[in-house]
Amino acid sequence: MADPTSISDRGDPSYSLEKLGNAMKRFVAWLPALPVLVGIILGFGVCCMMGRVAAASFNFSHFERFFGPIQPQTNFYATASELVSHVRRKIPKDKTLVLIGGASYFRGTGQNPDEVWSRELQNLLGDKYRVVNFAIDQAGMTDFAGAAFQVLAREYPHMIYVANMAPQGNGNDGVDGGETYRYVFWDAYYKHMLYGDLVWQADVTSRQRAQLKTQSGLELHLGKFIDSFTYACDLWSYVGYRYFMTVWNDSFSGEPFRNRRSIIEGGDPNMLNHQRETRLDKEYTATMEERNKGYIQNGTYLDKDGHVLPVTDSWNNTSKQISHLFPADLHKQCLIVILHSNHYFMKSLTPIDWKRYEVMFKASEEACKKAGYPVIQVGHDFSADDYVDAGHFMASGGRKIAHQVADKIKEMGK
Amino acid sequence: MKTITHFLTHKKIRTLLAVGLGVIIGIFLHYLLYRYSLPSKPFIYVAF
Repeated sequence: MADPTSISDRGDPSYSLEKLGNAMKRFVAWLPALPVLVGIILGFGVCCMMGRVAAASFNFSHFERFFGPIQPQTNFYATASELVSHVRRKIPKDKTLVLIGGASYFRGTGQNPDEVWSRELQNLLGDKYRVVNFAIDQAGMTDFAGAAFQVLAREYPHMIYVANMAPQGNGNDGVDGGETYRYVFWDAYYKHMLYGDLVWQADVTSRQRAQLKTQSGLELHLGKFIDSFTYACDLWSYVGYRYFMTVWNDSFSGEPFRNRRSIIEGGDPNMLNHQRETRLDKEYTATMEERNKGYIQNGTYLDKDGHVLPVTDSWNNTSKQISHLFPADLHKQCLIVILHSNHYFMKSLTPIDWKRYEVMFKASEEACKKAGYPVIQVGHDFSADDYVDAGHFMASGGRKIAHQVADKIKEMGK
Repeated sequence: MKTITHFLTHKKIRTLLAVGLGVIIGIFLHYLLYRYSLPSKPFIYVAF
């Protein structure tokens, strides 16, 4: 007699899953164990080798600068090997490599890809130089491009790293960068791509020890240590860039598997509208006014005669921090550009505030020089129209930056 | 055809399947190392 429950059981998904599971178990039990183990070692080993090949052969296509789809913010984590490989494959060793690092101000936010300031810089410098823009959103001097600089400076006889910096070194998160991009530094570190003097080494070791005491730091360091043998990040980000993306991101929910190489950065024809909207945004304007006013109170004081003076200890400390960012022998190759913000959003500043502002920038420049870096200030004579918002530059501002930076680079090359 | 059937004995098929399964597991383990290094959710989390 048939089982009265059998008909309903056959339609039950859990019944089908159970049957499938049992079949799988029988299949696996039927296979000999040793060849499975050999296969695991073989598959894993081939992937490790392919990771090394991917790391050495990686280069970005149609690359002008970093943008959303090839940034960590959309789960595309370019490795240190990949950044370095891109430059090695694109730039001959007999050229003077100009690597741009730093934040979105230098990435060229506010400028379209065909008018980005680094392109103008290339035109101004000429064929003897090759400009590569690795600046990326919210990065400090040592972040992301900073790690690539330390590797490439040992390979390119003539190299200059250009990075933006705020006065007082704000945004410089130390020798390994900030939280988002720290992975690039440690990726390079565990792959033995970085080396420096004893002071630099001591700083790196102390940061490593401190980070290993936290859960996220332990994960990062352990992951990058293992990756230095397996090259898993190199292989699978290569696959994601060239063939198919394997990591979900809400920005690409319509095409989750689309390879990132096929995404070309488009232009924005409404930059002037953005500029206008930003100025009309009362909340934004008030926030920026307040931030600028608060910011310039740091590092300066008024003496009893009403003179504005720099706080010497504070600036000495800033200079010391900046000097620890890179190995000492690389300082002279690192051009620090101290950027001025849009004066349009500083209308509430009093004459004393402006004096503080001037003293702060001057002290910042001196702190960089004291640490052994070439330095220039850019933006103090820009008009409000050169900015798209409180800090990012329009194409006109970008061209002005390019001219000033090009002059300084040529001077450094003499 | 006869050569292939002669070569592919029952034992050899089992061995080849075992190696193939091992290779897939090896690739998957390698991929997992990459995924564990990312602070992002796997597809399956997003789908359900």
